[in-house]
Amino acid sequence: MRCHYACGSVEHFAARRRFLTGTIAGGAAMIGGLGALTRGAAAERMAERQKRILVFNMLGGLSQLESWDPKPGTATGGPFRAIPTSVPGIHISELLPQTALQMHHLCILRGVNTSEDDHGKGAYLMMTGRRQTPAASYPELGAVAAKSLAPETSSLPGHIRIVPSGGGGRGNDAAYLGPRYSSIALGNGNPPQYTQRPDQIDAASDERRQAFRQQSDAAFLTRHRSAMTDAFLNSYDQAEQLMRQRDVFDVEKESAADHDRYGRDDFGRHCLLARRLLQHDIPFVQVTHSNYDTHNENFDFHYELVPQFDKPFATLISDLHTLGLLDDTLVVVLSEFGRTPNINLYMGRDHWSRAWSVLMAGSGVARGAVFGATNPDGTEVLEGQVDHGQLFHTYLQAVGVDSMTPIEVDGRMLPLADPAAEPIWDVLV
Amino acid sequence: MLVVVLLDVGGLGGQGSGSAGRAMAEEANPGAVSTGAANAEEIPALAHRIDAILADGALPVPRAEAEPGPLVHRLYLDLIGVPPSIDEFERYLADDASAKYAQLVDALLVRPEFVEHWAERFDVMLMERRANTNIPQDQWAAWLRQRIAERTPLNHWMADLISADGAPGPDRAAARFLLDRELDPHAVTRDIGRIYFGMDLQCAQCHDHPSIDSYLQADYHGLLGFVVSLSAVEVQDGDAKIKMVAEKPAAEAPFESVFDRGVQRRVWPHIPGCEELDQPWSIPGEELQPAAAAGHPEVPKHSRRAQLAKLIRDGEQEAFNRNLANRLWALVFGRGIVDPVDLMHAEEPRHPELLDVLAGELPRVGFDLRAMLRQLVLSEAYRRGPPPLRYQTPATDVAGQGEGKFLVPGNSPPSWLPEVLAAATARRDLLMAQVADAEGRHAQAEADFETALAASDPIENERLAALAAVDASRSAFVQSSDAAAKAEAARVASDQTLAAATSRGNALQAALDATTAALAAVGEDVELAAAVELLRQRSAAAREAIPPAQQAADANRAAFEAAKQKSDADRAALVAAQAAADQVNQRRLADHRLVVQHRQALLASSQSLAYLRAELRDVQQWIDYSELAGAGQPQQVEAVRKLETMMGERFDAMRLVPLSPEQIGWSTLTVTGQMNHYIAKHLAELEKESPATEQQRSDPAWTAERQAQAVRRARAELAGNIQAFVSLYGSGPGQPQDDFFATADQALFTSNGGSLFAWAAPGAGNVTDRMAKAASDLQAASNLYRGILGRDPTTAEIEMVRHYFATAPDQRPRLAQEMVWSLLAGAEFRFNH
Repeated sequence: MRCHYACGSVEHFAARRRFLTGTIAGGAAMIGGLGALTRGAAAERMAERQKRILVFNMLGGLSQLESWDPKPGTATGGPFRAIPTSVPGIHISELLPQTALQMHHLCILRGVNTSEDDHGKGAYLMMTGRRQTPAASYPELGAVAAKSLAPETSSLPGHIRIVPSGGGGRGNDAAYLGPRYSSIALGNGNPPQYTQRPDQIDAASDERRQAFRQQSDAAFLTRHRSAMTDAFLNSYDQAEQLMRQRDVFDVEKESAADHDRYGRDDFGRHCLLARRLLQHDIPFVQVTHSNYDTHNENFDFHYELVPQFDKPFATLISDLHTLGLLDDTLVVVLSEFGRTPNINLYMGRDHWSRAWSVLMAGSGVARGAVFGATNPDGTEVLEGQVDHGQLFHTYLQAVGVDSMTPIEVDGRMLPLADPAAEPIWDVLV
Repeated sequence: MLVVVLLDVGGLGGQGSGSAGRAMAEEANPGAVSTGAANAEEIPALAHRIDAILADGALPVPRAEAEPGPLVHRLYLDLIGVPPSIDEFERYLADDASAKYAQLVDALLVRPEFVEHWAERFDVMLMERRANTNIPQDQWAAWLRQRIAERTPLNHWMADLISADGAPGPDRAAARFLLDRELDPHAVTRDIGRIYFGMDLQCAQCHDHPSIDSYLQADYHGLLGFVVSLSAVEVQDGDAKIKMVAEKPAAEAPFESVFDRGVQRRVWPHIPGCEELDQPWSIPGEELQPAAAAGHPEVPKHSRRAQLAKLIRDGEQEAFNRNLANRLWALVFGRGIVDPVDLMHAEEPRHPELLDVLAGELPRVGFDLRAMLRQLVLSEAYRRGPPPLRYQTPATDVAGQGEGKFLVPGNSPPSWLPEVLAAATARRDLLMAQVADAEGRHAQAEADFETALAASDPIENERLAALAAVDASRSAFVQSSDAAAKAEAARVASDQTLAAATSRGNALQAALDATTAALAAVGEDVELAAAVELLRQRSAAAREAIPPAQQAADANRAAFEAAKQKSDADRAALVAAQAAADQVNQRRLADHRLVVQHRQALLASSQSLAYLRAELRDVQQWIDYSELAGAGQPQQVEAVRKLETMMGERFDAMRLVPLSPEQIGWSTLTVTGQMNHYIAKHLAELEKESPATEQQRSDPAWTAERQAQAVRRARAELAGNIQAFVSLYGSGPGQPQDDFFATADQALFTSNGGSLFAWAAPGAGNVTDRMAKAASDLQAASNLYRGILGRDPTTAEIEMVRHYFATAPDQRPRLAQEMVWSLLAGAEFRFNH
């Protein structure tokens, strides 16, 4: 019937033009960009190698002022100093001395403005790239990554969250992509649920009954083969391989030396486990560190928490680089929001989403760079303002996923990212 | 006995009605069970009409009737959600009545499990596994079960879901559809669009749908208009606070497209694609009527959602009926005539006529669920087997040799292929001519629509202006009536001040008079004289206060009267503006109707064009296949698979349909004998609670009711086990629940979760037990395949069972348990087929 606009083509065309010019301009304008790859080379490599995303979710809201965007000597800056990093001209908080030495691998986005100061809603928009609405739910980054980055037949789960305890079950975070891409929570290094044969069935019986099942299925499929039955059979193969690769989830299989390097606390072990999972080509891993919701005693808490994060994180970045994985792994450090420049009566900082920072590193992202800036008090974004929708597109583009084109899911055309937003071409290389 | 019946297609030009089919068709005649079709004599049973439509113009492709085992298995799963027991299966096979299939259908429709199963299906369809935030699941499920048990017309209770207010009482549960969507107008609009009208208009919230021409932003806002003023309010219910549905007087909100900023548009509430509904004018402050009960929210005199509910309840809403028909069809056939079921639009239906006939049947049978289902499962289309393109005799065909028996290189082509190709070629030529015709008609319809739309622009603009004028006078009136109310308050206050001053003056004067009189009577008295003097002063002061109060009162009265006059005048102006807008509306109506008519004509023409094109594509597939002669085996097998998929989509063959999570759970519990065990336990408990009298025992109705009660209790007790299946096999809350997916965690649960294997353990009279006690391997194999899969084993499968038992002859119960597990874990159990 009457279409009141040119059926999307105008918008898409405009976006593509910006894409082209943005890439060229962005490559040239980036400050301190090191080792940028040309797009052609990146595309070639993409075809060869599995890409991955590693997210550090700093629960509660990491203070940008005590991490990526310090403002020493100002009314809002707090007691900590800024220190130089491995990239001349870029300074970060003195609470991150190890990370500072890895700065040449990192890209700080200091102009994040998400206008959402609620924990739940902030977490939702950072993980889905959309504002929460009761009318629709959207897949989280991990589900999109699992769907887009790993082959259909992959035997390991594609969307892993490492959580401090519990775990084992399937999350509800894949929305319309379907439960196949929902997260599997690994509680403190425990492998996924039911990956071990129960005691009452010995190996011989198990082999026998599985063989009988396979024989029966083969007979049935001579008459009824379809994509559904293929997927069904494949789920048993995946299960079997998962059981065989149970060790992938066992961080204790890593060397004592590595345990020492990462630290023997929970977060250190989680980082080491994350490295192990990424080495096994799991396309999405999320590690959490908490709790940064420092309405009271912000400086004491950050003094304690940030260094806890600093060493394992820096070790992981350096290892990924050494192992040659960083080129194919996007690392993101995010929160639900930042913290107020204003220091409250309890020496705390409250929720602040108007001017805060996100860190990116690795695949597809400029190295040793800062994008965007806030004013001297850190209360407003001066340049390079970005929001959750743009960030979400950027994460996907960084690992070679075309975030602008909808995909088909069971007969419906559905977007991977918010069609009203687009990537931050300037930080992509 | 397991022989595929290739229906006699040669002589009937693809009518697809072999002798077995005819026998079925006769027994399926209407009247066997009265389902409320008053004029059934004049119109053939729906089952026949379904088959006639599917046969119309169809190629003489082979269509196989399902084997009795799988057919009965399928029928049980579709009607009561679980497969037959061995005994039921054997009873059916042994029955030689010619009408046994129809009799079985009727028997299943009155089983207690029918109510349970269909309440579950409607729950999933309507709520899509959303959390129970306001209405507990047991209350909601009980409400649904009652609707189905009492055979409430589907459209009546679905209308109730929209008009429900959630007041405490037995029907509070009906408010779950609204309340557990947090009454967010957009969530409710989206889901009414999807679930009631089969249209996912979410994309059209901000602009016309980018890829579906018939999904307009105006339709989204038309639907939104019915529910936009709903909200949840908290009321006291005894000691608890509960939420109820409140409706405010509707306010019109203009909208604009994100692609067309600045151009404001307005629509009255309407069902997508239909005429806008006239709304009565209202005067601010006069819109509400008192609530039905104290403490409950007031309701508007004109309720828009009641208007929508009435349209649905009246049963004449084609969009609603088509969607309901499509969804019922999808629940039985595993795929909608339009699929996905919430993307109904012109481009979609492969069989638009079939959808029309099904939709038309709903009002004829009084929207009775059983009557509709009965006809669907009596159709030949329902009783088809898998596409018979690749195998000859599955009874002897195990382990993969069957792939590509007919239509692959190395095999001689089947005898029917030349005839199919000849028919396909002829039909292609016919269709090409028809497509050319239809394209011409479509272009004309498009032009007519555009013309009508353009012609309606002036009156649309006039209407927008008139509505803007109403808005202006409305806000002027709101302002002046506010002012009048304030002036009245001031008048009342100053009147009170005046009254107080006057009464004070009078009182002091009276006291002065009395004291003066007393002084005169008493004579010289210093204190009295002083009092008189004091009173004189006071009285004088009080008298002085009266004139200003009088003046203020007079001024305020005048001000009030002026304000009142202004407000009255504004009210009259509003009424006049509304009357003027009414006149414009009346004049617009003709134009609007014409636009809607042209839009519907355009829809119809794109529908028939799309239908013809789809037919052409399908026919072409057969022709393409014949041109693959020289191609390699992979391409040919691929082509055969495509043909099979197409046959499934055309309902020429039955497709595989994955069981729902609930079906997997209940079926597993049923075939392992767990269900029976729990039903028997609850029958015994019921007997202990209230022993049956001799008379009750001989009353079939009483016995049936007691059985139903035991089934309900058993299911309630086992419901927790079903949740495990729902969390593994179900999609997330608020997502479409009919998409298939298979994940490693499902397979891990099946293999290592323990419960499946434990249920398969031998227990009184269950399949494992029977197998362990069977006199021979042959009998054990028969128990296994009849009990779990509802069919007899093939010779190869009997051999498999024999071989399995031979691995450890002293452990027959254990081995039987393992084999039962294997079939429960297998594809044949996972899919309905």
